[in-house]
Amino acid sequence: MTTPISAGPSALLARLGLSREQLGMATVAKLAPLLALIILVIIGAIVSPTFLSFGNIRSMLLTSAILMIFAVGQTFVIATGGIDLSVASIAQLSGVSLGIVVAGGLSPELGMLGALVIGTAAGALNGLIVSKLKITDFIVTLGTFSAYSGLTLLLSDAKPQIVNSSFLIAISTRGFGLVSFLLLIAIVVAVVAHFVMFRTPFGTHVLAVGGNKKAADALGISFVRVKVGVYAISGLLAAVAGILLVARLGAAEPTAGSAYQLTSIAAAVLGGVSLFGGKGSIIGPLIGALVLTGVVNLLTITGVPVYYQPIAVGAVVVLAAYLRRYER
Amino acid sequence: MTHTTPNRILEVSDLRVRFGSVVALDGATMYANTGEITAIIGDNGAGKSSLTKAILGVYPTSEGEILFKGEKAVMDTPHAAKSHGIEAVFQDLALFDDLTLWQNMFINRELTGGFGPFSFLKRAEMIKQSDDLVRRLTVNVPDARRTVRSMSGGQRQAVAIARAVAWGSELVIMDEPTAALGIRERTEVEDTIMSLRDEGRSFMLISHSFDQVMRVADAVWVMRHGRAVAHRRVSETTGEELVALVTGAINE
Amino acid sequence: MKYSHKMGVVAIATSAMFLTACSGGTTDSAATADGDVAVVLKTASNQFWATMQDGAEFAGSDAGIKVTVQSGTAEDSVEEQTTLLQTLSGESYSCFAVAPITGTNLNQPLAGISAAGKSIVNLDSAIDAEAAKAAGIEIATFIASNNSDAGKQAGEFMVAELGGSGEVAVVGGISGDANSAARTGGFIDAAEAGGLTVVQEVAADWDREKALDAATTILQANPELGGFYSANDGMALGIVQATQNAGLNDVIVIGTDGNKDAIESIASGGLTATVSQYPYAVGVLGVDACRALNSGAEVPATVDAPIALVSGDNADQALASYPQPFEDYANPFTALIK
Repeated sequence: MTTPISAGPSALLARLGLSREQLGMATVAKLAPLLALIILVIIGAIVSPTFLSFGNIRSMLLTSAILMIFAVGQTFVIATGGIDLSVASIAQLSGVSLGIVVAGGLSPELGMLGALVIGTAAGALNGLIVSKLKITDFIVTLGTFSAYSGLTLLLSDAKPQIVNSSFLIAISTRGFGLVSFLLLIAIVVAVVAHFVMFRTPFGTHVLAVGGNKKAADALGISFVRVKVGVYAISGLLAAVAGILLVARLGAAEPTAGSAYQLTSIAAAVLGGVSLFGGKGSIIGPLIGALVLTGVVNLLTITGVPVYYQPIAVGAVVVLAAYLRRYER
Repeated sequence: MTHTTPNRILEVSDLRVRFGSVVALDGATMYANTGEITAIIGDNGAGKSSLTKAILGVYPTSEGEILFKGEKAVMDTPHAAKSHGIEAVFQDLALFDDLTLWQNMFINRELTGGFGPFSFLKRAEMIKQSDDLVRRLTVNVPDARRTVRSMSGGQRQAVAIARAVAWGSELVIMDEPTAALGIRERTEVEDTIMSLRDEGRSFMLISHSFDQVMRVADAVWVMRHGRAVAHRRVSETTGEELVALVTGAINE
Repeated sequence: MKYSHKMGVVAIATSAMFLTACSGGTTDSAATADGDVAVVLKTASNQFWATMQDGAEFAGSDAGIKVTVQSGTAEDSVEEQTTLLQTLSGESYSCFAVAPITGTNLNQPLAGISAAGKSIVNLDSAIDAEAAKAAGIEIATFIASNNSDAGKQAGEFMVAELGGSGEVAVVGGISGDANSAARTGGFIDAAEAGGLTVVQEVAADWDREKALDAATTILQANPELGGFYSANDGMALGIVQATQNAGLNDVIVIGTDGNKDAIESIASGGLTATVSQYPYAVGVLGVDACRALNSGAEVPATVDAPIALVSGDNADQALASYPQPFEDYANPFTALIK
């Protein structure tokens, strides 16, 4: 049983939300994503003289931006105890809709707006099905993943559509020094997301529903509103990522980016978001995304065959999940 | 319908709750006075929880009436009960382990600034108010910024009670609030409830402990088979009589 | 506040990274012929690209310079390839030889490469010109086998074999594919110019089975058919099967690609001929182009990679020197390297 809280070291622990006996392994677990990043940086610096060069850090930050955005969206859903298996296909659907608008001769800006609307709607639909029809998240998003993928192939005739937009080209190729515009967009998304999750009632309700649904129901929190909200956010961010993917690839590719389906979840888990829901963080998944990208980057610049990359990524995620066991 | 005396905060008349073929409440009629602690006792399955859940809007009533302060009230959702100022401390406390004390206190009633989509949490104020609220209940006050998971059983109970007491301006219903506590903490909680009662607050208390009922309550209802079968003023009865009423040794 | 504490630690860590980055910096290699070369291909899991990688690495070790070749896991790993090039572009390579999976998917990192003044060599699959221009990308040279030339050589050979008159049929790859269209187009022009009649043209999706079925049907409808031209070797071998099944062993079948099994078939009397493309040579040319560019030379905007007709006469030679071309070919870069 803990002793009463007074001033001094106990107060500091209280501020960290920890009791005395939880210090030690628990702190390690809480800071796991940051530790992983630091370890990666140390290993990288030892193994390669160019890992920490300006050019390489810029590359890593740029490459991790799209994953960061997916991971943030996924975090909201996972925080309610759900999971979104349809993010990559929503991104593809949004990208293709952008391509169709451009192919039809309309402005890319209009296309982007349309893409965002479509992504949000697709996400909201997920939320409605989950909360109104009371079907579990995994099953619903597994189904919509298929449906949205199919719709994407249908609309695009399975062919890519080149998108020439000076705005998108500028976003994907330019920036300020270390910070490319892609990264800047990811940071803006993260800042807004952090505000929503920790500075608004909605964010508190998201964590409440994930932490104790029974209590949330009894206390009058609307399950439907929360689920539709988080899935709409996930869909919107998937659309943003989809647009940035089009910018990066120069075309709307109906099948590009499928890997993000799993890496978005991996980055969130690596970042400390519990798959049981109820706990969330925005900076955690950002660090998780950075670590995953950094591992792949390190393997590339040390010339390791590309087939090892998925193995390394998997190992990192499992290790981080193992460390989390000590957090309880 | 009989005219209700003005000092009854709550009255239920022939209340029935059914789940398919299972009858949880079979025509319960009882009342609780304002400014008193009204205990509800009975064996397992007697309908104590069903009664309180019906009053709280968690269970739908199929028949019967609920009168709140003399007026007919429809308690079909938890929101309805809350809007009347009725709050509860459930057996499982309904706390969110990974949220902080202040987040738990203000859940779904957050203090916000700004408006519409730009409304944001007024954290500092909620932290301060939570601190004040819990401080009134116990000396063992956890920092309002700590998560509930890191608190002891007694502290968690204090938070749950503080929450109900803070928002339950009219009536606070408690289901076994001290069941998991040690003697010292139990005494703290009982003292708190009694002093709040002295300030004019009303409580309904479900308890398995006859000692507690005799110590704390002003009136007690005995439930059996989904009905309130007996009523006593605590000052006019004994623990043994209550036992006999519960087991059915005395039949009314 | 637990979040601000964590934020503080992160801020410190990020600043540390920042400081290291600024003090680190890239080692800028001077623009000499010894500059490092990065090559990004589609995927090593395809024989064609694996051979191109061999050629590039050989050219590098032969000249004593560092050549790094990277490719993705599959022929359609689009964003993976983009990230690979992005990563390499942050390193100290002076020249990049790339074969993009789509017309635009490498443009994002290429823009940065051009902005940094490094050279770009385009291999085999053309980068979309309009998109490149919009992104400010400068491509020094485009090295690829000339597909319509390949078809033309096959056409001329067919004309010679059939003595200037007769009926022929054409089997293409996926309908609409640019390379396939160039090959069959080149063949048809040469064949008709030489007096032959093209009785049918079909698309068999680069698939051996489909080609076999199509050829069987065509042979039944045209019993006097003199020969087939196929846009790739896989389909050609299927067509050979069809002619043998019909007992028409004199029908001429010409393929394209120069795969090992095709040349072996020629040597043993099955396939009549094929037009070999040499990914190995493309790899060599790519690295040599970079060497020339690194030494400051100007290079031609397009360079045709060698192709060669392989028939019964030179099949053994072709096999012996596989995967290299068996004849000398023009390498316009060697003269330019200082």
